Parts: sequence; C-alpha cells; structure tokens
Amino acid sequence: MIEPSVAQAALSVLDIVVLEENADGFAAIGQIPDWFPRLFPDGDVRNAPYLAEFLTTVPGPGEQRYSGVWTERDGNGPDCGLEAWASQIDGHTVLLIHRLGEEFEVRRAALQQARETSLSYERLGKVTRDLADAKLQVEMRNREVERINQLKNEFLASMSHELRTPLNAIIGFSSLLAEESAGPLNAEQQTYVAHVARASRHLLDLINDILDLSKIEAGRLELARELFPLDDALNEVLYTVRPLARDKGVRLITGRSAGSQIFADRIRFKQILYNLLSNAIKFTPTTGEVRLDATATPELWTIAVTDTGIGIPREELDAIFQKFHQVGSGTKGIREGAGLGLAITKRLVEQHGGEIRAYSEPGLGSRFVVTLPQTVSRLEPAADLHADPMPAAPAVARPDVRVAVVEDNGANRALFEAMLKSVYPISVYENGAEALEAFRRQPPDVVLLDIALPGMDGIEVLRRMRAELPLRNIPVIAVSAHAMTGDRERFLAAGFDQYLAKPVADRAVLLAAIEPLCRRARAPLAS
Amino acid sequence: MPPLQKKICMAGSFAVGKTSLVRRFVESIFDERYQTTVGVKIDKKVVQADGQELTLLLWDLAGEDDLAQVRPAHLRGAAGFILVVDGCRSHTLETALSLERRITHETGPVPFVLALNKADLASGWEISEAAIDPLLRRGWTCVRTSARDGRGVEDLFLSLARKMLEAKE
Repeated sequence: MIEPSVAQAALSVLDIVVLEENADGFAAIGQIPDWFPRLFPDGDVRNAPYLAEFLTTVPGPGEQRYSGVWTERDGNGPDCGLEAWASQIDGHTVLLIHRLGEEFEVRRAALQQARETSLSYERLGKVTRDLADAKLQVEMRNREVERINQLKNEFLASMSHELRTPLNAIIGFSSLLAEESAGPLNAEQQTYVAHVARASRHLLDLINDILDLSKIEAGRLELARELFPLDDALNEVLYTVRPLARDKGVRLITGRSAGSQIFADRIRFKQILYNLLSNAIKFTPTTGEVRLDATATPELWTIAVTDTGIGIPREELDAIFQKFHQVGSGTKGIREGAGLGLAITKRLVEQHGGEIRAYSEPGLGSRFVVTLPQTVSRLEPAADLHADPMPAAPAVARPDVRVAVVEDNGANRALFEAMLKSVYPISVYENGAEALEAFRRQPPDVVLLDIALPGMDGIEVLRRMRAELPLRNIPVIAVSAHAMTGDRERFLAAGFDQYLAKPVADRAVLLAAIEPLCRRARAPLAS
Repeated sequence: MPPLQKKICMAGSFAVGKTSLVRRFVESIFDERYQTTVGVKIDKKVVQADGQELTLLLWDLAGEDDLAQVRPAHLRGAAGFILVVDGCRSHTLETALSLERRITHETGPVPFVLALNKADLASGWEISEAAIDPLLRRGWTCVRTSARDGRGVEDLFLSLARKMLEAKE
C-alpha cells in the first residue's frame, strides 16, 4: 500500500494532476501543481475545448481512454504539450492530465527534424526534376535549332542551285560574246557585254559570300592549311585586283613583302586579301592610293592594306565586321555589296587563329591589319597545288572525240554546245533516259552530265552507265549547280571522273576538264 | 444568448501552412520559420458572417505524413474543415483529396474549403488550373491564400463560416 504522501510526491515529479468528477465538475485529488491554473485559468477543465471534446464520451467501467497530445498556451510562455487519460473508478470519472515538459520539446524537435529532412528531399527531388526538365528543354531546343539549321542549309543549297543554273548561261554566253566567237562586236556592244559579265560575276560573288558565311556560322568551313610562298599568293591576288584599280584610276602599291612561306588555307588566305584590297579600291576615289604590305616575325605574319579612301566614322569602326553592315553616311552613297565581305574576312582570319583590326580617319583613309600566328614555320614548302591552273586547252579541233552533253536547261544546253562545238563533235540530250538510249546506239567518248535532271537524276544515269559494259568506261564529268560543301566529294565518290560547279564561267576551264579525259578515253584504242 | 460556436478542423500534409494560416487569421502574424505542430493546437476567433456573430474554434491538426495521421477522435464534432495545400508541392493536393474522403467518412457531409496556400510563391507554383478545374466542377470552393502576405485568408475562413451557417439552416 503506497502512502498518500508518497503517491502525491510521485505525481508531482511526473507532472501529473488527477481530477475526479463530481456534481460541480472536476476537482483535483491532492495537491494542484503550479502549471494547472496557468493552463486552465478558470479551473474547469470542461471549458477547455480539447478536454471538453474528449470528455463528451464517458469511459465505460474499467475502460481507459487516451486523449492524444494537444497543446495549451502556458500563460505568456510557449505552448505546452499535454496528454490525458480518462477512466471510471467506482462509478466516478477520473481524469489524469500529464504535462509533457522537456519530452514535448524533444518529441517536437525530432518530428521537426524528420520533416525538414523530408522537405529537403522533396526540394532535392524538385531540383533534380527541374534539371531534368531543363536538360530536356535544352535538348529539344537544340534539336529545333538543328532542324532549323538543316532547313536553312537545304534552303541555301536549293537557292544556290537555282541561282547558279541561270548564271551559268548568263556568264557563259557573255564570255562567248566577249570572245567574239559568234562574230565581231562593235565597241558599244563590247561595253554592254562587259557590263553583263561584271554584273553576273558580282552576283556570283554574292552567292558565294552568303554560302561562305553560312558555312562559317555553322562551323562547317574546314581549312585546308598548307605551307606556300607568301609572295605567290600576294601576286595572284594583285593580278586579280589590278584591273579593278586601273579601271577606277586608283594606284595600287605593293610595299615590303615578307618573302617567306606562310602556313594557311591558300584559297581562303587569298580570299582575305582579295576582300580587303577590292574593298579598299571600292572606297578610294580616283587618283587615290591603295597599298599592300606584308611582313613576318618569328611569331606573326602581318598583312596591312592601307588606302587613302573616304574612311570610316569612328562610331562605325566596330560594326564594320558585322554581317550585312554597310557603312552609312561615311560611304557617301557607295553601297555596293551585301555587307558580307568584311564579316567573312574577319571570320576567316579568326578561323586561322589570327585577328583583324581596322583603323580609320574619315576623309583621310583606312588601314586594315591582319595578323596570323606562325603556327608552322619550319616546314618544307608543300607542292603548290593551288597555283592558278592555266588549262591546256586544245588548240585545234578534235573531230575524233565525241562529247555528249546531258542537260535539261535549254539555255545551258545551248551554252555548252556553243562552247564546245568548235573543238568536238557534240550531241546534246534533255534527259537521262534519252541520253542512255543514244549512248547504247553510239557510245560517246566523254559525257558532261547535269545532276538535277528530271525523272532520272545524273547519279542514276551514271549508275546505269557503270552497270552496262559498253558504257562502263566512258569518262563522265558532273556539271552541276549543286556547289555546296561536300557536293564535289559526293559526286566523285559516286563515280564521276571530274566535277565542275556551275556557273562554268570560262570555256577554257571546260575544255581543260574534258581534255585529259579525252586522252584517257582514246588511250585503249591507241594501245 | 452566447455566440454560436463552430469547430473547424485544419487538415493537410505537413508544412503546407495550416498553423500559419490560423496565426495570420487570429493574430495577423506570419513567422518565416517552419514550426511543426505536435498533436492539436486550438485557437478561437469570433467573426461576423451574414450578420451573425460566430465563434470559430480552429483545430489545427498536426500535418499528415507517415509519422503522423489525423486521429478520428479529433474530427468528432467538427462543423466544417479546411483542407490546406501547398501550391508549390503538387503531391500535397493528393494528400488533401485523400483526407477529404477520410474526414467526410468520420464527420458526415460537412462544409469544407480548399486553401491553395503559398500563393505568393508564384514562380515555384506546381498546381495547375487543370488540376483544380475538376474540383471546381464538383462544387468545391477553392481559395488561393498566402499566410505570408495575407491574401485570401479572411475570405477562406469567412467562406467556410457562411457555408456552415447555410448548412445549419
């Protein structure tokens, strides 16, 4: 039997108050702890909403009911955790209330910790999902960009093809007219033809510039670097631009040249020089000067083009290398070109690992300085593969070599016929099926074959020729307005013996392509 | 005549802002710190709804998760309930939908309102209109709330108060 005083002490230590229900409500058995009046100020636990709800259900005899944990405000202090049990003893409801002291805070802290951890996991999961979403978005965007680029490239290829096809006839026929191969021209007619030739070549330059820029921007322009004599490249470009300077009355001066080898893509290097020099001539008035200097140090090649032209306003100096930029008021109305030349030049220089700077004083002139790193300076000179080919055109007629032209465009058919008829017997065909039928009857010695033929394209015509014994060994030249990067390789890989991009501007180029193949075609007969 | 007294249970997943909504409504206070509720905490507020004075007994039930479940005994006598959802955590809506079925099972058909809380955090919002539309079509009352800036909080409790008065009539 526990002494009441011992029981009271135990209740006090455990922070428990015991109340017994009577007619007036609930009264404490034994001592009332100090916290009780703070939590239940009016002394009646039935006025506390939580306990009032708990006590609406009276426990049965011998039954014990648990309230669960709830909180009450401890005066002005923090919330206090409580739990209660109700039971029935000798027909009386007895209520035992336990104040959760530190235990409540420990329980709350543990729960808080668990939930914060759970929230952290949720946030981590969300971040992971967001990252995955972002990655997916980026991938989708990349695919879209890729698709748009593909469409752009297809559009450019198509436009290039469609523009080159008529240009082939324009440039070719104006070249034939200028040669007076169809009869002499008077002075006025020669001037007109020269205008047609110049305008069409300008148009061709524009097409090439747009394609170049598109290739550079797509990262698809590959440089074929080699070691070659710098002076040779300078002379080749000077040879091309000298007539421009002469026509305009601009003095073209060559300063000190490095006289060394340069390691670069020869064609692109010449393009850089050509762009700078032709620009300088364009913006320099008559009696002005354009000067080209080239110097080399062990680290750098420096090419400078200086003119006494109209100059560039200071505020536009940075913008001149942007594509489609044309210097505004400073050009005094000179707006020829699409504003692509300098943009391409800058990108070509940068792709060589170099840089280009522009200096200018309006009214006094401009200076463009290109520096290229000497990445390879001790190599032996490479074979000069790019020396301007001066094709060895046949001087006399070759009635023994039958050349067939397969071309669906009437103007181009007529052009090739006109270019070749004085040298070779020519037969022309509008489509592949017609050509194959004729070849079977009488095989030609060389075939000029267009690619974009209606019905059966040039590649299919070639495939069928290679599959038929009498036609198998006939040399075939692809003559196509498909002139994008990779087209040459594609056609040569398909089995063509040679490839010529339209426009074929010069009869000599056409003859030079045919002649070696003629020799090959005749060789077996000779042996 | 003493004012009419109604028990309202606040239920929802943990950390959705149940306690914060009550504190904003009763004390006009918002505390940035997250303080988990253990068991039940009860607050009182007297409101005027439809010209009638009403004492709301707000039973803030501990958030629902694997560690704590709503005790059926806590729902006894509830005249209405508020389901609280964190708009930035979409799964809390699923918890609310599940709670609605369980609470209605215990209390019978009593009025309730869905609080789409944390409306101030629009950038992190996860619950779409498409997720809410079916609930609106079922006749649910949904209120966008923010315990932080107070938007929608009065509307939330008063909507439920009016619904409870209507239900009584």
